[in-house]
Amino acid sequence: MREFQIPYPGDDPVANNRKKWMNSEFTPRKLREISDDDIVSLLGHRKPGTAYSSVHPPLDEMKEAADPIKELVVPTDGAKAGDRIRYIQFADSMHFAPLPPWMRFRMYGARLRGFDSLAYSGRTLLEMRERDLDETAKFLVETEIFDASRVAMRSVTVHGFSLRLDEDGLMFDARRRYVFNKETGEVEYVKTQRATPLDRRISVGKPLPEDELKTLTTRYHTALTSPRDADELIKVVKRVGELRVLGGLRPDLVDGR
Amino acid sequence: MDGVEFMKERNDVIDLYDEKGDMLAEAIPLQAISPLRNQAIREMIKTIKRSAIINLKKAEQALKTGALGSEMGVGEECQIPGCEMDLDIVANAGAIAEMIKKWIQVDEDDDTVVEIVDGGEMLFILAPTKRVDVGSDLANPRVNVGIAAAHAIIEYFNLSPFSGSEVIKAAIFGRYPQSITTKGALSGLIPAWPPTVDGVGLNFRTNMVNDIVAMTNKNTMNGVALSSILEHVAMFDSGDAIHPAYERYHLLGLAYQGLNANNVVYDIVKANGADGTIGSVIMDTIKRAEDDGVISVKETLPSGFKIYKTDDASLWNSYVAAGQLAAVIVNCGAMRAAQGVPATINEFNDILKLATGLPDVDYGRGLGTTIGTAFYSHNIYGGAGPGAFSPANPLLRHCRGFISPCFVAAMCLDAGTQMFNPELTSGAFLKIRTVLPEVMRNPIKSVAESALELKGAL
Repeated sequence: MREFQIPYPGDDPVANNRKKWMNSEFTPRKLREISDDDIVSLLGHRKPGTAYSSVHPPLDEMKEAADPIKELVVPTDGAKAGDRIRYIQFADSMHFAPLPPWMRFRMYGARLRGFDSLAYSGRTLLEMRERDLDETAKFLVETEIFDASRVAMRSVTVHGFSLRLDEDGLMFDARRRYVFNKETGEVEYVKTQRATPLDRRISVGKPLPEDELKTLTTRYHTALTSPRDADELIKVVKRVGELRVLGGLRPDLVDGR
Repeated sequence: MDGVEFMKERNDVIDLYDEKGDMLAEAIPLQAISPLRNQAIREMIKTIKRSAIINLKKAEQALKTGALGSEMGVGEECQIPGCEMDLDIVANAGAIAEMIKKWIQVDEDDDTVVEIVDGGEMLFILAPTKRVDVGSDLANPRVNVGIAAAHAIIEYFNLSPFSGSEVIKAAIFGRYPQSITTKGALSGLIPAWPPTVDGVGLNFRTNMVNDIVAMTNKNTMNGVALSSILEHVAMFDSGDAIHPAYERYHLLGLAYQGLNANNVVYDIVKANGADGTIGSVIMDTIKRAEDDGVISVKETLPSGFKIYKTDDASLWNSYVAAGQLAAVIVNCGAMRAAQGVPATINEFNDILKLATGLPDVDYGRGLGTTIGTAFYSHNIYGGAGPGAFSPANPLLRHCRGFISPCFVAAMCLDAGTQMFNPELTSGAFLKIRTVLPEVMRNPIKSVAESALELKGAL
């Protein structure tokens, strides 16, 4: 990936955390190890060890009309092979999940290549060619982007991001895809993201302590860094809003401002 | 002050480059690509306005099965047993075409065009200018050609009211005028049929994204150019390009996003083609605008964050539009799949506005429009794919010309992941393409050549 830092206004802990995710060189901490087969099982699109299904022949076997742009842009491995497009969707709790949907969405834009995404209030969809998705899902689940208690893989029945946490500190899930193992202190998935039961439990490790989640957060919160104190961000957002209104009336009203 | 003086005062001069990044025309005044002056663009508009397409195979099949006047998009709900007719229309396309030509042309050597396509399965017709000039709207060439085709079939096969002449109209015009649509064998280069267009100035925006992709044979930059031209022509059509400031706004958008002016799109794509992301395209767009003097630092905040200002917001908008297109080409091109186009536009504009403190594409309309498009094309709301949208669709129409070219680029780069692909939705345009005028097949080169002719005159 090319080196860059996308600027972001502010110098408070939240702004600085946000800037971190907008830096292509930033390597998130790896918190857990999950095998490739377990990732495939959690995604639930195919059985581990089976071949990728394809939606079109490999690119080098296809006869495409000449187009200089297609020669400039290098396709991903999944695109080269003609893989089907598959998805993973995360629900991020408003109780200090490391990346709320809009920041997860921006992080995808800064770091990923060859993807489709969509951010709703409490869920963020990610679609990629299947072998690209397997690799990306591993990165997203193994690193600090994922917290076992506040982030969940949910492709259906995503409700729960804004609900109170349960007695073990876990985000509510109507499909009960994961359980807290009181003996090990780890969160274990018993169902795939699509809520299909798994053959065996897959551990995603221990939740991070609350204090650590608060230092990692990229969400302004009145109990921590209040959004009202984000002076620079408010200044920029207000400015963009004002210029959009002026330019919407007549573009040259923005000139010189 | 008129448009020419307004743009002269701002020294609006552009270089035009082709899809390979080679220069086609140097130091062209911006007005030379205006639909009001550029001959290639004017020829495109005239071609569209004079066009009619008759799908003879569809008419023959409808008559053979008695499935006439159906309104469904897929399949036929209306079949009339007893009125079937087995007429060899396709096999006699030459004779029918000759009769149509004879009836629609005004003078022996006028500009009438009747082309037989795909072995007689289709006819592509350009009605003569003299006949179109006496028309009041876009239906004129289509109605005249449709009636001519119906008469030709009736006469050639010697039909009478007692042997089936009454259903020929239904085979050509579908259920019109019982319904406001024409789902028979008749169409044109733009689907706009006056009773069905729900607003003024939308006619040139009624082609599906896939239609444009088919007309330009999936050539990304030419597809983008044709789409951008139609979009900005629609702005001239709808009154949005009135006032020199707005006229310039649209011409700059057309130049930088649609026609690869100053090679901005090509350069950014080239730099990011191998390992770029939307984020790196955003940074390159900001840097290019700063290097070219379009934006400059207005204020440095205590954190070190720089707020930019621009002395030329329309030019900034066109750089953003070019960057947005490059981001789509890089991201959807890497995936070789079109579905990420609204997400890419969202990401690009959302991040860019917060990184600069300057407005995003079309003053927020690009971001707002694609949030809706993404929402209604994913998850439980998922409907059509990007290729099946037309810019006149309520999901796309609110951005004034800067989104559809990106959708076209994404569909050109799609390697076959879409259910609604150009072969399915726009097969007729893939076939018609062979007889289309050069201006529509290769818009970048044609517009640049016409612009060169105006150099020095403006």
